[in-house]
Amino acid sequence: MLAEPMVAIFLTGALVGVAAAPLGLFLVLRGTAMLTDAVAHSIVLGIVVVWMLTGATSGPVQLLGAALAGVATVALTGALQRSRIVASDAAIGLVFPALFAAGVLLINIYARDVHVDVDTVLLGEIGFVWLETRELGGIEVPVSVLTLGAVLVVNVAFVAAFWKELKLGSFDPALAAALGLAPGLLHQGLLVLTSVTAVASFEAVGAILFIAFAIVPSATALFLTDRPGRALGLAAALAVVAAGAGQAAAFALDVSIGGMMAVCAGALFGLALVAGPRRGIVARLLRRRAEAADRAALTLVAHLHTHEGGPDAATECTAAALSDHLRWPPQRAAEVIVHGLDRGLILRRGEGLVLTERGRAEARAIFDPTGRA
Amino acid sequence: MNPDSLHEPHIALHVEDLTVAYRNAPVLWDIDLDVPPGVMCAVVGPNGAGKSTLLKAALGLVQPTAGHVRFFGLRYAKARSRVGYVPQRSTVDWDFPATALDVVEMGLYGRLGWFRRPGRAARAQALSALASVEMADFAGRPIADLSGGQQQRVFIARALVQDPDLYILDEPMAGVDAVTEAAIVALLKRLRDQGRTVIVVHHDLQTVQKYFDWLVMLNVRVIAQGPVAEVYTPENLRRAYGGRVALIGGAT
Repeated sequence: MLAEPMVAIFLTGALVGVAAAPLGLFLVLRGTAMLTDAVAHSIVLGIVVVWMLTGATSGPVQLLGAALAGVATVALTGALQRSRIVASDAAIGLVFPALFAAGVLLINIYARDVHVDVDTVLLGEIGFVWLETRELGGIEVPVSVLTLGAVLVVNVAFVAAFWKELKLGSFDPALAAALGLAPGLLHQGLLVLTSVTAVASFEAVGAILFIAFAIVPSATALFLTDRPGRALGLAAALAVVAAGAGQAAAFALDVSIGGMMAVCAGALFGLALVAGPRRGIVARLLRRRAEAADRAALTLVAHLHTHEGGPDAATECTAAALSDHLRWPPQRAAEVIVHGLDRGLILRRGEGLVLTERGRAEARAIFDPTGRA
Repeated sequence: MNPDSLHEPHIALHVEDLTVAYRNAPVLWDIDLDVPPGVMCAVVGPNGAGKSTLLKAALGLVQPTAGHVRFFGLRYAKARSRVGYVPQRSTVDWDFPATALDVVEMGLYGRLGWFRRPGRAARAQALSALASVEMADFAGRPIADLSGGQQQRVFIARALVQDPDLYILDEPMAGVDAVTEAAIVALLKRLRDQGRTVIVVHHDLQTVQKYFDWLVMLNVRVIAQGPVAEVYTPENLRRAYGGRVALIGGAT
């Protein structure tokens, strides 16, 4: 049943995202998400070189060789960054296109008539993953599902074992280093595993789309929650949803399956960007309006406090004064008063406005923050 | 000399012949420095004097060209648990998904060691550290929602939870409000009075005499070091800052 085309395609697409999610989470948190793209591109060179040397197009040797190319990219990029010859992001942009181009050229020259072709390298061929299967306990299982499943286990084990070290290393590498928790080494480990995951995902999604599977669900999840643990679970769930929705849409519209899965991941990100609970655009706008209302209410509190008990209190501490002296239009003045009343900062007394105890405390905090006077 | 043997164990921070260079240009030249235990020490100097670099080199975050550093007579690798480091607030991304309590718990990661997760005891310790910087009410808040002063308090709580003998703080008073500055200074003085050593990179010459009892003046080299009363002199300030500083305070 696992070898049914539709099932195999869905499982493979979902597994790419789920296997990459633990790595993607920390790459996004560290601000090095684009290294994923660099790694995914330069493994093309690794795959071609290993094929030329050994004739293997899959299997552990291929996995290792291609992963080494990813590691070489990261090392070269790092060396170029440390040399300070070019700016930090330019170093990424210089290294991986060069290695990627070399890989594409080698395919053109030496591999014209074989299994490896440029289209597959760029976009993968997730539609055919059900063709290659292996028997496991009497069940036919697609090879891609087996490989990605194994990679998933390794990635989850790595992140689970070093969870707190990765967290501190992402947030504050200086303290992590000072505490002896080797943030640099762990980051290298993340990137090695990213290379391995990219190689395992390669036949299905190719060099270009890998980053959409590896990074977008994590970036989306981090928009939706403030806890890294929850973000990880959410990223995995989002990857599954994107794979399922993408597959359905691709068959309905008769377009590229991998491409449609990436589009769905992007659409989910767009949705989170707009409607996310805390960081989303709508939530931010609402919060900004609430803050503005609070500030206006505090301005009113400060005004009342200044004139409280003074000779001009009768004229200053009225609703009319807000229009005459603070130059607020009557409509706005009324809104501010309502907000002040709602928050329990002020009270109406006849024509005038007076501070409550709470309002007076707020005013004291404004005029005498140190509490010394 | 055996690198693991005790060397100047009666001194909290001992720096000898330390030279640090970035791309062959020395940013610190032959630094000799001794901070005795139980003092509250300011490290001052103009921009580019190498103040932060001195701290980073001492903590092994920057590789020195020459020289060595000892904490209570030990190499830093052997003295990690006795040193609490508070980096500049601006060096981390405050949009990171973590609560104030999570950040304070990070201070315990060194003592926990590899693989072990913080448990209930760590949580309680972190809460009490937050309480001592008057931030207990904010424990569950995402750090992105905190003001600059509150973020700095969280950072200091993260060092407190390590319970170190030596506190090293990089510009803790930068960009915080007056209330927070007063609270931080009071807290650091309390630590000093308990016998801890406090070393602060400080940028405000006006408050040096009020806050500190020990002073290191730095400008690529050590200009002067010792008790504030002896070191905070017009002559030394001129040598550290050139003619660019107007003397304020009681220095004569």
